[in-house]
Amino acid sequence: MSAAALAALAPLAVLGAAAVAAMLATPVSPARGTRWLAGAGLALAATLWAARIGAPPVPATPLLVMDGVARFGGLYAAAAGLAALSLAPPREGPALLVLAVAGAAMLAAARHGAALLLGAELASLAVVGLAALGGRMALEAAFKAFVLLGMATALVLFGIVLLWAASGSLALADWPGEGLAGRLGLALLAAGLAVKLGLVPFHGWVPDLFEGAPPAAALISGAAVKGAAVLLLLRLDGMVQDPLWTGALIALGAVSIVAAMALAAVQARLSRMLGWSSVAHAGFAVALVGAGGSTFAVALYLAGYAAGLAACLAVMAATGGHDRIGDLAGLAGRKPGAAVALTLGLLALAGLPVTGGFWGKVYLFATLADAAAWIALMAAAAGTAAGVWVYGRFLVAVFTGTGADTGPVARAVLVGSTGITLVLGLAPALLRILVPAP
Amino acid sequence: MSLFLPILLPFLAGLAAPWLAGRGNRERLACIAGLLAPLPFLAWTAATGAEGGWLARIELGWLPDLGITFRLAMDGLSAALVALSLVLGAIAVLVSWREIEARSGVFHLLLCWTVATANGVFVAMDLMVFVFFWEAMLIPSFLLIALFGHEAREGAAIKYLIYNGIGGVALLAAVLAMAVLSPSGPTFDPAVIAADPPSPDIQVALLIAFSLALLIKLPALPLHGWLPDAHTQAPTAGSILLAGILLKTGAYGLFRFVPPLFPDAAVTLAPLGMALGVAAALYAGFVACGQRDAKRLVAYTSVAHMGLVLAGIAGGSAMGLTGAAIEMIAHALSASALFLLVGALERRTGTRNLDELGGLQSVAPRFTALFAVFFGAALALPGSANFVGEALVILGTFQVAPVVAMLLLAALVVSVIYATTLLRGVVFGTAPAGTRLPDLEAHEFWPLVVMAGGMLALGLLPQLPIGAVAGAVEAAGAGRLP
Repeated sequence: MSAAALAALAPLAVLGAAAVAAMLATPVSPARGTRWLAGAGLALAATLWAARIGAPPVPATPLLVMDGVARFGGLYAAAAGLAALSLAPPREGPALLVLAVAGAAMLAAARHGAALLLGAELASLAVVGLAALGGRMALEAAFKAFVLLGMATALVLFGIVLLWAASGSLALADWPGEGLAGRLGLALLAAGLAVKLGLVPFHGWVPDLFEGAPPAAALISGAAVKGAAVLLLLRLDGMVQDPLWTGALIALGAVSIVAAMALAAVQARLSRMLGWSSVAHAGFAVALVGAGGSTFAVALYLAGYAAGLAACLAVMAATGGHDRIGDLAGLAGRKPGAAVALTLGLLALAGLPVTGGFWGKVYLFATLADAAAWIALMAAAAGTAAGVWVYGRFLVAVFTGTGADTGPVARAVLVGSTGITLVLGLAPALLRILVPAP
Repeated sequence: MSLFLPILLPFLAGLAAPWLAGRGNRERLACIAGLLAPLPFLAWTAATGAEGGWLARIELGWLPDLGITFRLAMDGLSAALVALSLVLGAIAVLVSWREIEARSGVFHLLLCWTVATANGVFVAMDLMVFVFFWEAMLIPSFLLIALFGHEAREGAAIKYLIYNGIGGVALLAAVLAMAVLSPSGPTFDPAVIAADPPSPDIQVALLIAFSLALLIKLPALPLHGWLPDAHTQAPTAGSILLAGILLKTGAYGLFRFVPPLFPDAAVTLAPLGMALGVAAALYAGFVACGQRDAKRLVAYTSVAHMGLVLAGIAGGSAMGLTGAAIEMIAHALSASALFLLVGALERRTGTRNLDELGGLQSVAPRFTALFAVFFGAALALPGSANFVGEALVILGTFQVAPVVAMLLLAALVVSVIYATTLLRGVVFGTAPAGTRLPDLEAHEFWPLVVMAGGMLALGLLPQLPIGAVAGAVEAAGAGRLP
């Protein structure tokens, strides 16, 4: 391996080492030591990725390529990991978190079936482990995620095998090859990825994960893993010239948006609502990719979504399970900072101006209109309109009435996510720094 | 430069308010300063500016790969509306001097940000910038109602949020569709889109989607459901901002952007627009006559007056457009003043019910005098700016559709009834024995005097406002941007 390839793989190596170190530190310093080690690893990996932004793509082993998409994906996953770190349960939490981030980063950099599988599995299993670490109904959430993500593994493997049979190669660039086997393989692969993304009708595990598992698991699965899967779909979309693939992605996205928003509208708990909203946002993102969104557009959407989700989850974590609408009532009076962050987070998820989520929605609507996907455009518009009700209910509750007391909120996450949301909302072109034009 | 100030200064003043609040009235003074400071610059630009058909124009890049430019432009109409919103904002701060004590910092932040975003709507000359400020208006005004309103504020706030939120999404979708369909590549520049409008068959669909948000805000029948509750439950300052500024954003959008961007569809749907306007003027007028809640009565009169504005805009004649523009300004002054008076009364008596109020004339002369002045404005007494506006609208509509003009005259008669109902319920009759009603205090009296003065000045010197909006009217009538 050349020095350049080793340098390109360095962030992943750092993450691996950090995970091992954090695991080893568990009996010695279960709360602080593990977090510091994991945090140091994540920060170092993020710096290494950021430092190479703008450099030409570096293929590292036949499995991975460190190009713009991979570097952004890695940076994005590491940032989400850092945000989730303050919400992570002690002992094994930080190590599992780092492993999930490593898996997501590998998924974003994959150019080979094996890397795809490795990354997806690492991320999913780490999320399952993280989910089981306490919280209400954690075991049930983790078990559901385990079973469904295991089914996803089977689908992905089957798809890869068929694609190998059709094209004679495991490299993404040679897919899908000729004939029915190739298309079938692609369909199965997409189905497996859809489970990981949480698209309808493979979404069964997502709302339970958000409700039962620790917020760190929800943030990592909702932001990092989902983002990586979207970026992988973006990479595949660039290689596959099949209109059926494009149409299928858009249709899957549109159905997810409508179904998930409809069900989010009747949720009484913030955590479960965020889970359904995550399904809807996966739909938005996949529709964007399918309609031919540029890397910048997808990156902007993901960044805006992750910032909003982080803010909401940070506040949700502080409620300690008392996150019904009635419990959140009057948060503005008790904890104004948390209320502001939750407001901006909900607005970012809804896609209202001043937040990064707005520009993501603008790009989404523009791309769908450009691709003449009118039904999907209407579905996206309806989903966004429904969002006014879905998020507005909680928004109103925060500012009216009186509810249960909340614990301390992770200030760093609040400030960071609020800052990113506002910066992206007012000057979205700044994201070009992280996603340079090719 | 002066185009940024009406947005930037109130925004900064609002941002500082929560930190300044707590001791003395620092945050109120800061907000008044932030709101009134742009006015001299505005006056200077209005007097000396000339950039093509505009008084001032600014263009900065924002998201070039989508064709979005941060473009602001101001002409006579938008300058008048921006000045109006700044003055009404300052009046709203004055009015809340005693009314809002708790969480005053947050209140002033929301107030200033509502004004700032509304000013952004008035000067936006790029469709995405327009949508940005339009949607940004939603949250501060919603929170103003939800946090500081009266007894049934939560339902009113949610209704406001949902109606206008859905409208905003439709607006965004329409703007994006227009940008994408423009033949010279995606662009959000209304001048470029107007040079090559979409084909007539999709123009109607696009116009409906585009104007949905504007008609909800106006509000036009049957999308007005949010207004009576929102205006009634909002705090006095909130009602002033809602009636005085926010409704005008809808009318402004219809005035400025519909004729150039949808020339064929505007002609096709003009009868519908006039019908909706007339229906609003008549229906809301009748409903207003039956109200016993004073604030709700004034809220319905707002719907009626804005129906008149809609009829004027939809008619498309020069006189009708001029009348609509003047009625926008006049109604802002008169409705805000009436909300101010009713709000002041509610604070003193604890009730808005017309059956319980009454006998003001014997105990509060200042109240009575100002009620009488704005009673005259509400029914468009000659001498008030409302008369100028309504007369021009009716004359203009008569040129296009005489039947509609007759119905608008009938609405004028109805306005006499509801204005008298309000006056009778509040001013006449005998006060219960031993009523000691403190008269208007300085911080309520002088803003009202200013508003009355402005309204009379515009009414007695109609050439002033007519000249100011002439450029905008001429452009709208010709179906282009100034």
